Amino acid sequence: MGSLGSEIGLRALLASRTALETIGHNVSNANTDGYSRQRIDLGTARPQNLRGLQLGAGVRADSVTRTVDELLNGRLVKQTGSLYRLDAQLTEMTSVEALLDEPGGEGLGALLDDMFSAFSALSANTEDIVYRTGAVQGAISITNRLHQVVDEVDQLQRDAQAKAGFLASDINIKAERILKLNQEVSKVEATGVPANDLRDQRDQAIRELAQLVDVTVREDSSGIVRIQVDGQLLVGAQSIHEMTVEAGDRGELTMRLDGASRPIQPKGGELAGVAAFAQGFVNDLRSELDNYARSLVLEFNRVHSTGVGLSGGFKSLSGESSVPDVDGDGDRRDSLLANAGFEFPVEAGELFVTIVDDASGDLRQVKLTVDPSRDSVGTFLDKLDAIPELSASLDGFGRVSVVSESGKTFHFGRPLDSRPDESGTFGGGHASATMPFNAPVSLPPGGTLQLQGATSAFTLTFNASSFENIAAASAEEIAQVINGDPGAIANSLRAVVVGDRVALQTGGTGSSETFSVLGGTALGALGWSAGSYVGQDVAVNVELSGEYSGSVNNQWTFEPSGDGVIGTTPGLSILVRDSSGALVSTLEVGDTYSSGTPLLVADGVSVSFSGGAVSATEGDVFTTNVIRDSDTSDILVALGLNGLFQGTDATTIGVREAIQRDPSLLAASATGAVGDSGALRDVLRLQSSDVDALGGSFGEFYSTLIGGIGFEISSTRSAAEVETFLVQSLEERRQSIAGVNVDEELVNMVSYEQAYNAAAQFLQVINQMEDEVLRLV
Amino acid sequence: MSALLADRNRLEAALREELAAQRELLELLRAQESAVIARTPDALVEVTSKIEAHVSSASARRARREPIIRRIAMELRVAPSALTLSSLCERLGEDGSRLSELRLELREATSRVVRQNRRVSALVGLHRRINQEVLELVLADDGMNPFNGAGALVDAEV
Repeated sequence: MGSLGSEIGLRALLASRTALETIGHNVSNANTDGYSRQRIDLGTARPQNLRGLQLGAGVRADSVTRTVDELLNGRLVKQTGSLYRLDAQLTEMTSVEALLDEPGGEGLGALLDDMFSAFSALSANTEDIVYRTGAVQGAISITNRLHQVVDEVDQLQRDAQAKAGFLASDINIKAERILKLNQEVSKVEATGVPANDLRDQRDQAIRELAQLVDVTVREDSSGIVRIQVDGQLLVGAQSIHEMTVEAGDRGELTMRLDGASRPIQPKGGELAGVAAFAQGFVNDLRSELDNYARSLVLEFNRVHSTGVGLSGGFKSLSGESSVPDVDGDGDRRDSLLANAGFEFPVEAGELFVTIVDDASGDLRQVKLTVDPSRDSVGTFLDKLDAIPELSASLDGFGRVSVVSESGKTFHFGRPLDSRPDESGTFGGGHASATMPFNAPVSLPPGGTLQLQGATSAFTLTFNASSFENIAAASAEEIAQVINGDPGAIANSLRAVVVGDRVALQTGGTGSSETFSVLGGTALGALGWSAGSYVGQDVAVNVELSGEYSGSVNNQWTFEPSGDGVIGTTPGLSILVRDSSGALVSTLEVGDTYSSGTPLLVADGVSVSFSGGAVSATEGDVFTTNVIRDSDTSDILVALGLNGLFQGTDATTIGVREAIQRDPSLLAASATGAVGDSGALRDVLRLQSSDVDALGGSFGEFYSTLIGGIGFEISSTRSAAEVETFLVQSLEERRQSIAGVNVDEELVNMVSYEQAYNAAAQFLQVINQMEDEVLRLV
Repeated sequence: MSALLADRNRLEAALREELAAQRELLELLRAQESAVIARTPDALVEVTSKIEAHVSSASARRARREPIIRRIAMELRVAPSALTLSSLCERLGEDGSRLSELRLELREATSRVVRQNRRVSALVGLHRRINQEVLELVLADDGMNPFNGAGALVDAEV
């Protein structure tokens, strides 16, 4: 009995010692990351059979176990991944925010304002080369800043790619450590003893791995964990599958696990945050900056290409853009404009080319229609080349080259033709008959026109072969047939095109000039009245002035309301119609009109007439183009002709080198007139105009871009704060379950101490007390 | 002689009281041992406080017992300090037979208490040493040990 009793005491002592050692272990590891509090599980010792009785054998320590909540640990791993993804994104995005910040007025927004200020200053001093240089420098500063921003954004992207590589290395190291811990845990637990501390270390390593990449963890019955990333095995039972990262040119990151067929796409952890930044955020930002730069090129060049520099028009002009050989057949001319591979698209529209006579300053405007779905590059060049004063071709690099003949210059501005009736079809001195309606007209094939000239009568024949479609004969085709007829030449008769009408007139002027329309099968279709037409000695002189302020291009047609003399015939008026036939204005030029007095037509354009006879009967008419945009097709932008900027995106944008070398080429004028600043005013309108591709003005777009980044950062920060709170809550819960509360452990130990002390004192008293009783007995 | 027998009867009552107290104390000591083994400080404190109450009552019992013994010693003309229950039983002869049985029971009960007391003392002493060892292990290095030189555990204030 005495032996059994001492064994019970010894077991109790050992159990107590184990418990206290466990407490000590807990306290010692109170600050060890990932340590889980351990507790001793006490149980009754196996009873002993003695003399037919089963006797209790006291207490023993069954096992030391960790206090962990596996479900909570799993949630912690998952939330940790989300938090570190957001944190990584936030860190990277904050560097971009700093980059796009506007320190010291050197940001894009401030530089854009500076550039517009420089253009504004130039608009008041268009001939001052200092202001021109300032405006060019303003444009250069914008492009330089764009290059700088893009370079730095690219560098951030490359840094993020490199960081992804480092993270992959860290992931592999962590995976290797988990694999080793797996093996150690398995070895220890095979003996039936829980590997508490090893499991803690492994849990901690898994949590650290989850900071790098989101993982799925599964533990098998032997205590080995298998870890997957995006459904693929990173840590197996026997080995790890190393992660590799390949970086692409545009921020792409291809992440693979050794032996897997498809790449992985992490959704959590620092790696996911860095990848999202490199592949998403930076590329989005690059697209926005490219869009911004591209819009700068397009919008500024739209204005600039139709403007005129300080020295007037061009003798020669080369495009900055090469026409690509899209189909690779060696012929750059054969592609339709719509499919020619231009960086900027060509629209259906019209291009006005102005030819200036250097000596007289006389202007001639030619309107070219551009239909990108029907016109090839070659067709367009042929149209340009067909202008007698110009030759157009592609140079060896595929760039369009336009050259004017000697004594002529050209430009693509929008001057108002101050003398719109050069042909004298409106009360001019020639004997003249004009079609009363616009071509095209339907001529009978082989139709004839019988005329009597100064020397003979002759018959003109309109053969179908002279027309693209004789049933829709154009004014130019009809005039070409007439002017090529030997009878007309012999009688000094000519046809001129006025708008879309044909005027038949004598070569000379004065009342002695005459011809007669005799008849013919085509006469009805042409609308001329049979009869005699006589020139006049006093011709009407027409002059236009002002600047067209209308919003669209138009062609105005001026016709008298009847027959009479300007300034003399009561009630005589001039009817002005636009190209749709709508009446624009009625100008009173009867007996109350004083010769040469300008009359306002509309939209800032005035006209004046000198005295002379006009005839509605003879079809007197003149037309003039009023131009708001002399290139509605944007073909000049597509070909890079007379642009301010070159390039197509934030990397390639630059001020055209010719302008950098010679700021006088900066187009300030819209008309070529001295002192005109129409092109600059159009440029300045861009500051507040909405740009379709940007969804607002340039300033608004940039502000929105900065604001958008700020908002995204703010959203990410908020999300990160929420995740931080969640992770902290989970960590606190884990700590409350698995953490060591040093105070609590010490309180336990001190409680024991106090209890033992008190017990010992009374045991001593009892001892003395019992001595007394024993002495008595 | 009748006075002696009357005091004998009073002494028998006092011894029965002491015998009950010893048996109660033995139970308390066993409970204390269990509390130590089970590492339940609260139970240990509780049983210790019961022992404290028990110890406090011992002096009252002694105060009731000692005058009786002094009177018997005077009647038998022996020094009170020299009088034991064993010698008294011999002197009383037949009249001391119940007293003799009581003496044997009390001796047995007291011996058990003494043995149990030694056992618990040893157990508490060992536990206490282990506890101190661990506390020193935990707190020795950082100077936080509130027990070194503080003199009283109550100063830990935890």
